[in-house]
Amino acid sequence: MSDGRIQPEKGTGVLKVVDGKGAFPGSLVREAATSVDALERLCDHYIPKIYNFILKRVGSVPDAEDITSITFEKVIVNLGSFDETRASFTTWIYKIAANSVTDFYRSRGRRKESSLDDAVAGAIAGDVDELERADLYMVLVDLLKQLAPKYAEALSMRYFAGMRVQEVAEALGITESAASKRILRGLEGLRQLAEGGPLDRLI
Amino acid sequence: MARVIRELVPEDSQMDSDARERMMGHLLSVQRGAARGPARRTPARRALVPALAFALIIAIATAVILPTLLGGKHGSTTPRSVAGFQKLVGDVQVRSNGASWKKASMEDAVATGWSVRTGVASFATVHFPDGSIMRVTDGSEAVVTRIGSGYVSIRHVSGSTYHRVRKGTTYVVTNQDVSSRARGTAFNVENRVPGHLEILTIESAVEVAIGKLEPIKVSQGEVMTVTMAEKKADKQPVSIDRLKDGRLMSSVQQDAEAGYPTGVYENVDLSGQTTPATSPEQTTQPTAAQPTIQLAGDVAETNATLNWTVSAEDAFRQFILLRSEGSEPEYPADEVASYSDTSISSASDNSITAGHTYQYRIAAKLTESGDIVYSNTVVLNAAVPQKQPDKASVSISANPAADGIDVEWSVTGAETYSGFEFERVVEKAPAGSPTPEGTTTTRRIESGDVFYSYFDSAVLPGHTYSYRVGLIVNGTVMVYSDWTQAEFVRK
Repeated sequence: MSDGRIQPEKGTGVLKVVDGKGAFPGSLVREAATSVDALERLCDHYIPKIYNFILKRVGSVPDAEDITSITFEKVIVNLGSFDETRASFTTWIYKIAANSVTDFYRSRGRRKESSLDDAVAGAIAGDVDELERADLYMVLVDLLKQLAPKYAEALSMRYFAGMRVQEVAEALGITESAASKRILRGLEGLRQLAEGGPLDRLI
Repeated sequence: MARVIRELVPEDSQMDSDARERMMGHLLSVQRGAARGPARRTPARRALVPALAFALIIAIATAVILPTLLGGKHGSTTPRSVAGFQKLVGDVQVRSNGASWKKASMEDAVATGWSVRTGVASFATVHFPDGSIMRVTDGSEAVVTRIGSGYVSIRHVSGSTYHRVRKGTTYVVTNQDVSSRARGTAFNVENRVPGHLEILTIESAVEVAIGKLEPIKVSQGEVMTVTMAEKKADKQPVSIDRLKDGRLMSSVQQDAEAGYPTGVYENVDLSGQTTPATSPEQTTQPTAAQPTIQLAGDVAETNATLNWTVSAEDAFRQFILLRSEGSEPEYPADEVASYSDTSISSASDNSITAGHTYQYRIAAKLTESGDIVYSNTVVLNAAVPQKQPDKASVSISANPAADGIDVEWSVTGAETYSGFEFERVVEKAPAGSPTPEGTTTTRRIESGDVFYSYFDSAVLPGHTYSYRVGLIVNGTVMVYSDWTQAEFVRK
């Protein structure tokens, strides 16, 4: 993600992701619970990122809008419990978004049919080949829904939100090693699900 | 599989502006509810809730059903967040998102995403739903990037735009990565000089943020000029000549006619016949008769260099260097150094911190009266220096598990790398093994997927393996870890 950079932790030398230049100021995060201005700035900063993360995961604009709204509602209500010593705000908000997607699927049943909304298709499709690419992307979205949520979460954070493995680990509350294993197993699970299907020739 | 995902994943797209606006309205109400905390119902409230709910249902039913029963159109339409034109003079054109330019008309509803541009001797006044206005002066262009509840954002493209902001509205004007944020104020944004953006505050104050740096307050009667290429800013009291500019005078005159306060123009004859006075905040600024002092500055890492020039020799008996963060430096609160030797005309400040934005100005004491005359304010950003690369190293461990060997590693001293090369050598193998001693396996872990562990399940009982990992930078292995060994006993 653009908000973080990796640097060695003082003393141990262990690589950690720290907030970068593009990170949202911590003071504004706290103010967002009560200040309209701070909330609007927080939303300006994070809505595009979270909306796209969710849209890529669900492939439907109305669903993505709903889940984005639910995510930010949870963020506002829970701002008081956000502990910046445990995770960066960016990681925290992505975790809430991922949970909201999982809850959304649970409430609707995991194997709900997907439809490629114009916004997603438009972002992919430019010509005939691109239309095929858009169709293949929706196949991928459907396969992701068939994965166990913990693998789908890890994969979407890694590949849709562009998180580093360390950030995925932080968001999921697991070790870095466990996060990388979860991503690898998720990829392997996807590969198995894709076998014999339209994505098979690309693998 | 990771490659396939990357190939297929779509580009980012924008949320529909109406949906976003609805969401913001909802979130603001959630914020208000969260700030109040969970409502504690008293017995009386419990009784009131059903009654109020019933009354609400009746009210909604009346509003929606009655007009239909009476054969009219549905009562009220949902209020839309659109602006309109208050005045159009000369050649004014508009276009909505992605559409072609067309001649503007007073009936146009200027919504989020609309652009307005003006020709020679033309101008347009855009009136927003909250009561704020934007005046697009001649030869200028602006885009309305968002109109929300109590929120307006504008992208200033070219020329000059004048903004009168309704109190309570968050109003932001951006140009590239410079944003000017105001509440209840009047200000002008102009980039008619190539490479420079000017923000001039007519009334109250504007906060100007350059990139992600801390915003700088530009108060009434001040003008900030940002050099866009270097992201350097200079802030000083607006000159009388600048205030006499025809476009500014015209906009302020229209404000005055509409009954708005005119800030720095308060004591100015808007007919332009008399000399304008500066704002009350600037009583210590030089008058025409006073000598002046001009400050310039630059910064390299955490060393700021300031140079000043005076308009008259021996006019001052002392120079006081002032520095502050966030607000305009004032004498004596923000004094960092003073110079009684008035032949000194430069100073160096190496006590600043990287990543901070500082404002400097000189308070100069007049030789005769001892009164203070301020210089202009110089804004300097102490950039965070690029970290020198440390020597990179990789440490590794290998631990036998029930069905394989778990290899983990970590990296120190390197921030940018694209992956790892994983290498395994069979150190010991029983006679007749399909993988005899010396068998080497190398696996390059996919570029971009930076993992720190690998579970080697392709191991055989009774074999001992050595592992090492190479850190890949720019396609080649920059450094290897030491070798580590593990024996696999059984599967």
